[in-house]
Amino acid sequence: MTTLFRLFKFAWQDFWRNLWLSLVTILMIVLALMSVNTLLLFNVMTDTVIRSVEKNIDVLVYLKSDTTDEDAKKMTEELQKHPDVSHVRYITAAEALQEFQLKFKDKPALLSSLKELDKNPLPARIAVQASDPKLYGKILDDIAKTPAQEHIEKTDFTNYETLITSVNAITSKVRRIVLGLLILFVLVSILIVYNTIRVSIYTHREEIVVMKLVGASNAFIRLPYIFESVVFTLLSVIVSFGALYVLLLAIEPQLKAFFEGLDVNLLRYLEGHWYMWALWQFALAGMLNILSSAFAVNRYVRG
Amino acid sequence: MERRLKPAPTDYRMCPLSSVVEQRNRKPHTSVRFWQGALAMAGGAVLLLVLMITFEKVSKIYPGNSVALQDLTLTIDAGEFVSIVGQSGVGKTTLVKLLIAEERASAGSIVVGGWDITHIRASEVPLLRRQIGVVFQDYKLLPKKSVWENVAFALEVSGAPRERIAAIVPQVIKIVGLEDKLHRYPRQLSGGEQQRVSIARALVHRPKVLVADEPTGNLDALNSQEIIELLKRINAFGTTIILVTHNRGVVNTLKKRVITMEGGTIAHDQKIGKYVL
Repeated sequence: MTTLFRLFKFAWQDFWRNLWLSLVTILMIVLALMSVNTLLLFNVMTDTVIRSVEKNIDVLVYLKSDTTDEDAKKMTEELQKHPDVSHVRYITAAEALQEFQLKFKDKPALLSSLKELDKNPLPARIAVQASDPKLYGKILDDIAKTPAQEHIEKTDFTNYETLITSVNAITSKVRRIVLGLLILFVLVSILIVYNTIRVSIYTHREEIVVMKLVGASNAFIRLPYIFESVVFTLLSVIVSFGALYVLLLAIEPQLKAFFEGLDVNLLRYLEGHWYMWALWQFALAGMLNILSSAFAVNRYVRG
Repeated sequence: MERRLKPAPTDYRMCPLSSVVEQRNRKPHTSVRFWQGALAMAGGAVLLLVLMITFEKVSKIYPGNSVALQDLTLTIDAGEFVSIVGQSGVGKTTLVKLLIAEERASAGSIVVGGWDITHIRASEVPLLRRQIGVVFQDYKLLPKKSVWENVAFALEVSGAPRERIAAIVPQVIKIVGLEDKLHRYPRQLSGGEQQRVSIARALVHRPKVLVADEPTGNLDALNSQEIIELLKRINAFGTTIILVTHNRGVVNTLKKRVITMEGGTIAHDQKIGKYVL
């Protein structure tokens, strides 16, 4: 117990008596964590945007004019049961007309030409949303194999196919780029943190030699530095999350304006997830710091 | 199990070193102190019998075939004051390094108080170093620790209880005459004062052997003389002193055993010697 208390005391003394070095070390770790956190948030943001775009894509299955309401509802239920379908909405011909009129309310010429027709030209339709945009082809193929096929006039899948393909290509590219950047940032951060701890220990190398000469065991030399690196990690995680929160708070209005119409709220996301992130980062950065510290001290302990 | 060269006295004030404080600061003629002195002398006599340092045909060859020591055989009795002299590169510092297990011998054997430290395990090195005090030319103090903390550190690393540290540290600091500078940091002390702190730290474990590697190398004549006087007083109470030095004046005035080294081995060994290079 006395030994443990002394190890904590030495760690604490070293932290305060080398305050500038401690602050610089913390600053470096904060910068490394912030760069990773910023990229993680960027990843969340792109993910939300992509999901939002995907949510807005649906395929319309136009029904033949002789399809009864009952058949259409039955077909809707069947589609709802499909494992790859996330959402199905049956739109009657009247609803379709209403939506059309609402959509083009600013174009009176178009609406008046519609009035010239003696009956509603818009067919009833089923809006199908897939759980993954890549699966639309498969869903439509599956529908084609069922008796419901006879009620289908046409689908607008062909029109959307190019759009969906390009959205898919873009989203997977963006995801890959963000993941690649994240890995790169994590690697750079690991190197920065490792080097920072090494430099910090390097400045203590003569002290380590002296400790050995007066009979300190290797564990007694190592542990205060390890405790100190845990303190560095804890403070760095707190500061980096604090700084990130303040930053998001400051740019919140701009973000809102930029992502208008999309469900993107990074501040809300951070408020809901920060403790999990902080815990993970404390564990991972702490482990990295402890290993760096032990490795760096080992060099002088053995030397 | 911790190895000890010899069981330490239970009361620090009864060990020879505390008598040094008394010699410096107090009148010694009370009956209690008489018996303390007598016990200390008796303890010293026992040490004289058991604590012997033996180098038996020791060689040390560094990588690149650089021979530092060659078949060196040497015996130092307990309580001796031995000066080791020689030109640079003759192996004086290597001898010290082997004694505190900073280096391992390439051949031969080294025995300290019956403990063969030739192939000492890394885990036993701290135990050895807590029993051999070492003083260096460059003091090797911890710059961010005060005088008190530097001295106490040597006890703290060995797990000494707080009460024992609180009792011993003021005594050894008193021995070296720095009781009014307890809370100064090394940078706030002169070279001589820093060397005294270094000696106090070396004494804190009540070592049976004190190795001083060029302790006056960075000091002026007056400070050098004070350090040597301090070493002589410590030696007078039974601690073996091994002084590695270039200082001709110091060696010649000591009138103690002088070992002159040349080419990694002993050229002269005189019971009451002089600096002959």
